[in-house]
Amino acid sequence: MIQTPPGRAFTLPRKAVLLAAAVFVTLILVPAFCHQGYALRLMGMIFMGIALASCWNIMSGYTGYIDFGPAAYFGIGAYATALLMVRGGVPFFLSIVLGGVVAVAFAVPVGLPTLRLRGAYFAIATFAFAEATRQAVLEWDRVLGVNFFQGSHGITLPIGPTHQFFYYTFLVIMTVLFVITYLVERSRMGYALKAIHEAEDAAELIGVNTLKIKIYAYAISAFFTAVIGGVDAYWLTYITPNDVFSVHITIKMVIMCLLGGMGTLLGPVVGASFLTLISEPLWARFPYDYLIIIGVIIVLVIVAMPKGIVGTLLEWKVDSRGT
Amino acid sequence: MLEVKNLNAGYGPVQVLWDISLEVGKGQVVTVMGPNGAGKSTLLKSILNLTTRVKPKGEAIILDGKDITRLPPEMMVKEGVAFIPEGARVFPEMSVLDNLLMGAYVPQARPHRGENLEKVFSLFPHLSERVHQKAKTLSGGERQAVAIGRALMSHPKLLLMDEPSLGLHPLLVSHTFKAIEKINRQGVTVLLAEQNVFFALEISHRAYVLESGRIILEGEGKALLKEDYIKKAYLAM
Repeated sequence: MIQTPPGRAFTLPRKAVLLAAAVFVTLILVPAFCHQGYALRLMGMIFMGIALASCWNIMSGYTGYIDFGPAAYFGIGAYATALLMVRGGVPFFLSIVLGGVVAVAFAVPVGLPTLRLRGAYFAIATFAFAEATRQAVLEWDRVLGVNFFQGSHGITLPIGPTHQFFYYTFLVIMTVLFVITYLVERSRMGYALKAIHEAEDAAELIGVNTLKIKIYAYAISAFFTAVIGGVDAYWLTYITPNDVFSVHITIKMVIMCLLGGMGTLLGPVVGASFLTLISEPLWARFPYDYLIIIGVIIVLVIVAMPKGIVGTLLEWKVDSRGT
Repeated sequence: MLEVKNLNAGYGPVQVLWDISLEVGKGQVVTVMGPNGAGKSTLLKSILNLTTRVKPKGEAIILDGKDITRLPPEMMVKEGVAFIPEGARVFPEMSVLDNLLMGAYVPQARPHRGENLEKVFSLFPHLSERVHQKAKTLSGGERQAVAIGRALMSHPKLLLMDEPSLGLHPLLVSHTFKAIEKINRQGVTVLLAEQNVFFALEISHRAYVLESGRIILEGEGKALLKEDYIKKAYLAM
């Protein structure tokens, strides 16, 4: 009658693991058979979208704290990577990891006061932080009379390798985030995050150190957002504050996660794939009106499936079981 | 077991409690009663450090000889103090079972998880039929049972309950108090804040009457029922 309590050694559902492994192997093999640059680029972009949405999901999806400033960490990662590679001659992979570390160094002091705020106040505070970082990077050189961030001129990175390289890099990052989400969801921390979402004061009363748990989730999210920002900077080879600190990055992360389903393992995967795959052909066909069409589609999906595609399907499954 | 000395507390600049001193003996049920706004909830929350302390000198909250005056709320569970807030505050999207298991979040509660789960189900048999149901679909009484069960899962020495009878059907109120009595017989000390004086005093060893933030009367549970003041003010006799 009583299932395995959460947190105890869990058994992996064999079918799901086999399916995930099959998908992963297929994705590894794709570039060997597909030499179309566009297809690989599109796949790489989907992987990046899934990874970004997963970052947002780990923090906001599970706790319900709407982070409206992840673009700050994306930009910090992009700039850290660019500066380390261009100025310091640091190798690419080390640069992106260091970019993640820099982001965590920002996330902890930013999180400590803001994660005590609830509801809309947290969203506003994080949004302000992202805008402030963008302005700081933009105006730094002019105000201090130095030549460091190069303001709106931006920074040019060394010419990057092929699309195939980025395809694999994003495939690895996406997979790592998927596995982390899977582990967190089933861990004591995952249950604590959900408890914070549902009744934060009650979570505190049963002994959850809510601030500490929120900071962990926020730092993990910031680290990977920055790593992705670093990879993207190398892919684009040219960054400016207005590009990599753009609020559009934040909005994309939020929408992908909402479409797929907040606080679900597969939500970011479905949401990011769906949004990227409908955007591309629509953009090619209706270059001027495609955003209107996407807007309508997003509204329709959210109205029909208020908990996101995955979240609503899970709900239907539970309902049909009659429990 | 629990000793509160000279507690002055409130919310921000507003002082609610004035020089509160009380004692809860091991294995007892103690009730704090009083009208709305007397400070019953504030008293329980102050023990858990959820309020602002005024004039911190001279005050002390001692649990089993250990000073817990300045302990943050989430550490209280580790000391064996469980709190059931007003209105149950269950996790609505989690199943009944997950709600209960969340109660055993602190490491020291984990070894007792199986045994405590059995205890909860024997206390509230109907919950065992609803283990996989989401807590938000439960009735008020069932939710209160889940909240009590969740608190018991933390393996507490001392249980603080804020108005367990609030908003419940009269029949359920008597069920709830019977459950509290059983929990107490299993060795858990209980401190109750209640307005339902008759039921509460029936199961209490001792009681304190709180009015406008001050303790105005204290005594043995059932003896207080015969006190003229209580009869007049609370029992309308």
